[in-house]
Amino acid sequence: MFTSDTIVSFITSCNGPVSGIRVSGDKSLEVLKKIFVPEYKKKDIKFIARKVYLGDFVSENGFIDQGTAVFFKGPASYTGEDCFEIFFHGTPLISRLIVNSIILNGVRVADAGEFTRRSFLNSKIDLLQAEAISEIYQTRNEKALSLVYNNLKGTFSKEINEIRDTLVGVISGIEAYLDFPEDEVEAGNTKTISLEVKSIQKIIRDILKNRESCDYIRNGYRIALFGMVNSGKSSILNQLLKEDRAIITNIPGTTRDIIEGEISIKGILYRFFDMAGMRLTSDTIEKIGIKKALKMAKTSDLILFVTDISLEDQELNLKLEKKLKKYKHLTVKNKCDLKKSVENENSSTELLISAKTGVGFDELVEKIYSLTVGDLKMDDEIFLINERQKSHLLQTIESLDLSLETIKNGYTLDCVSVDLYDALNYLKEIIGEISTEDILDRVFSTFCIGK
Amino acid sequence: MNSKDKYEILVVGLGHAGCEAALVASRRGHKTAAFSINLDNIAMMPCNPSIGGPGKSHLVYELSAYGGEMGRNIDNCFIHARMLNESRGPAVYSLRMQADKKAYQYRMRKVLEGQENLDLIEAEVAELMIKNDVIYGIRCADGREFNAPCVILATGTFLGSRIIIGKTSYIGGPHNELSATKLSDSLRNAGLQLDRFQTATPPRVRRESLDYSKFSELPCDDNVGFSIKYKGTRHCNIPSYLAYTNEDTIKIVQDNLQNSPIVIGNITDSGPRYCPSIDRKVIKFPKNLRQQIFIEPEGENSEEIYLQGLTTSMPADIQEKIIRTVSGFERAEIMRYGYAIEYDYLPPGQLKITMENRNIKGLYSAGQINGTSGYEEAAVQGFVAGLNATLFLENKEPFIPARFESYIGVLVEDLVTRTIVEPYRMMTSRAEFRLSLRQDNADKRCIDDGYKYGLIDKEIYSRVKNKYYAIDKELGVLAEFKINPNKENNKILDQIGSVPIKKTYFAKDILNRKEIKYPDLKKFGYELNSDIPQEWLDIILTEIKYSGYLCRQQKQIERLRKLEDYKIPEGFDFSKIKALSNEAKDNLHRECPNTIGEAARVCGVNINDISIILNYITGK
Ligand SMILES: Nc1nc2c(ncn2[C@@H]2O[C@H](COP(=O)(O)OP(=O)(O)OP(=O)(O)O)[C@@H](O)[C@H]2O)c(=O)[nH]1
Ligand SMILES: [Mg+2]
Repeated sequence: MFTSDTIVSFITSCNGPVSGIRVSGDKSLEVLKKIFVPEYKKKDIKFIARKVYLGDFVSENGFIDQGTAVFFKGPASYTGEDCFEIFFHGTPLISRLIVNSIILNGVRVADAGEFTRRSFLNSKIDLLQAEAISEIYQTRNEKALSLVYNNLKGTFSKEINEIRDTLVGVISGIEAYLDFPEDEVEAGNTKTISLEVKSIQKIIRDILKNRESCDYIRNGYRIALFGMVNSGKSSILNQLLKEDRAIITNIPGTTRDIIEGEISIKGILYRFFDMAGMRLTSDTIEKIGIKKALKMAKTSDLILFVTDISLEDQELNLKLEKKLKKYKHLTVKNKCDLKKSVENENSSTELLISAKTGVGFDELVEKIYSLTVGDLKMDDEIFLINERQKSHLLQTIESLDLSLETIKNGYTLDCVSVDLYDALNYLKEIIGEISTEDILDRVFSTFCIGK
Repeated sequence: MNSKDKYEILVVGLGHAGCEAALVASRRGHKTAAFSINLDNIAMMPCNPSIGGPGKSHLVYELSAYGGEMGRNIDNCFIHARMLNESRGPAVYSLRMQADKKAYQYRMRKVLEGQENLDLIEAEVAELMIKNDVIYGIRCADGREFNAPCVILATGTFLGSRIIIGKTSYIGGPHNELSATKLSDSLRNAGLQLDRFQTATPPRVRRESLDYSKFSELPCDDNVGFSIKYKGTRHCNIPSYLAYTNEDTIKIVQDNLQNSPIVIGNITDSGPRYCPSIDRKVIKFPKNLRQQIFIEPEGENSEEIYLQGLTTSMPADIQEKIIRTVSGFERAEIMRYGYAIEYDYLPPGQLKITMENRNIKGLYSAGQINGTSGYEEAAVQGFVAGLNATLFLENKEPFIPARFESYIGVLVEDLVTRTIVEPYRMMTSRAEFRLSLRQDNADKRCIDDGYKYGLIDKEIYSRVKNKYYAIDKELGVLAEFKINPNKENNKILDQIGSVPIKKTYFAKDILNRKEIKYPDLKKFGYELNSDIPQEWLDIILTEIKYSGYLCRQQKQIERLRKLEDYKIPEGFDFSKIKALSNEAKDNLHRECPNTIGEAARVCGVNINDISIILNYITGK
């Protein structure tokens, strides 16, 4: 199956005030001239690239709609091929008529992601950038978006290229040593090679370590609201979301199902889960209920343990809190408005708030952020890494490990190089590029060899 | 014979490529005529007096196993030999022999003269006779015409050659031979594309004028050889030495760079990076004051000494000044000055992998005319071109060695698919599968084809076959013989100085331990095979020791093989893939390859292009 024909696809929703279509391929201009007549009815108009034209969309049966068209001459287009984009009134009927008239001119409907794939095949973007583009559509918060753009702008590619460059340096040293035995090349020192290989591994490991941050940046944190019935969990959720998401009553046991809500703190996504509260049955706490709620809490990144501070008897809360010891949690003492004098100050794991008045919520939000993001790197140095990239990075490390083992076992450098080349190929695959001549280029530019 | 006689194959030039081409053609029973501008210069070595070295030795070993002559020839007239890289791994072990240049020429000439079906003719070939893109003969400068359906061009650096020393330059071939001035025009008229390369050679000094007490003598290895027949029959008899440049040398070069052709610019910049002149080395690495100079005698009957490492084409008086700074060279007398030579070559993208021209049927080219460098690279191309010419005449499948089978395969594939920016030299790093392509197993890899084409005689063939039969058998026994972790065995191990074993080992695994030698196995009750010479044992040990890596490489080769056969849909339109270079697109369009393997061998198509094509075809 190969695709080099002209393709068409919607680039906006086909049902909005205005809809857009993109066509890409050699036939683009020809098709555009058939389906679009610019104002003044100049039929054989020369479309100047990147200029917006107003005109009529037509089919064999005549006028369809009025709208605009832009022609892009390859390679200065998204796909690198000749392209055009048209915009018209976004009704299902008009959309269908226009697409039909394009298809009747020998154009095929594009597969998902095909424009971007062509862009990659035509060397407009590398593989990392292509992946970043598809990532944009799955990104739900600002921080993640800024990282995606890092990849899109080629920052990640640059980092990988730097690693690759270092590795090429190591290999070219070995090659100079092997191919020019009589030249006094000092690159054959296995200790130095091991050190260099290890330093490359460290850089890759750091990138992978930051992957944890990127997972959070991409997917956000899960926060569980946990506590006794009637402690004010649902009220806290509503206060955080600044909307009436959960039903609040003074009847203990109001919330039954898990209720979700999202907010963004400093660009990071947080998903809160309001759950059924724990209940007192005879003198003991309902064990099964706790288990279930704890299970939910366990899978979250942070538990907000909500207590009603207005109650005289805090024994149950203390008991419950013990159960949470093992898990990352923050004790939130709610309803502080009902207490006249507040004896203890906010400590590192405790916070006084009121869901009713909003007191302490700024601190709460700050606290949630610092308890989750904490030491994770959240600056621009980190990259969004998908599964494919991760697996290639791991394979690179593995191949480098093998080469280290080869050195350790006293094998000669011709064997060591086998795995170094493997590592190099994995790195190249990340960017989706294969080249062969850079090793020798480096040999000759770095080492004074040859007679 | 006179000029009316019909030949089947004409070989133009009798350097290292021409000799092999002429021999393989005539040995396979085809009437062959070989032309040289001067018959005294058959198999001349105008540059370094040696054959072999990393990558190159692999070529010569393979050529020998195919039935070529170079290995046999050097085995009979070397004066010094070294096994290089012995500590750097079996893949890169490489033999290099210093040649007695004249002896080398005489022996080769004798072989050619004694060869049935082969006529040697002294003439300058001036013109190709081509009709409808098919070659039918050549015309000499003196007007004689020779007809044949196959012509192999092996003109080396003689084509349109120009000598450059300092600011001076004049028309001439290597060692002031005649330049082949007319043929270039004929090639151009035939629509071939020509380009220019340059290379240079160091000055030669008088042997007696050097002070040998200042040099270190280079070690010599005996009992070596490239050919199966003559290996170990001759010994080193003239030593080589090593000297070093010093601060003064570098300073004189630096002070006189304005006289260097590469600075003056009266020479093309496309020279070999692996063989830089002292001028270039000083420009690029000015801090490197102590550079090696190898002092290599050119032969028993010559006083000339070749100075490997001191290549330059500076003016004569400066060459003298440079040389005299070197310790031991204070009174050195230069017999021949170094010079650069610039010549026409045919960018090898115009070749098919058979060494036949893509556009002109029956026209082959081999050696430096294809933009390569080195005697060895030339010789193997001569062989491939000559053999394929005979197969073409016999209407048989061409001989196309694959890059995972031999260095020769690497060379021919690189030549036709890669863009050559400097004279192409073989290096082990060019062979992705070098662990499998060792010089020690070249005979195993190539002998079958050599025998099949009738270039290896029965006796040699069965010798190699028996050798590998014995090796494989022994490997089998070693893989099955068990050594149990009992007291006695561990005591033996202890005596040898080896760690005791806790589980059952096979003999081959025990042998993998450095401290354990083959004869030690006897102590464990293993029956030693006394018929196995040390050399075979070395192969056995290499196979055992590197089996893990060899296995991995074998897997990579299988992957490549699979890709080789990956079908390209009929009528696939390469021009639609914008990422391909225009050259690759045009050539793919013209050649219409059926498989990825074929596409990879189309001129101007590199591995990057292949991955893009695959991506397109598979939609991944
Ligand atoms: N005064 C005061 N009342 C509060 C505060 N937070 C919650 N309440 C009240 O406490 C009662 C219970 O609140 P909810 O938010 O429904 O408590 P819950 O923990 O979700 O209860 P369940 O879902 O039954 O487990 C309601 O009447 C709220 O109005 C607060 O900070 N101050
Ligand atoms: Mg509730």
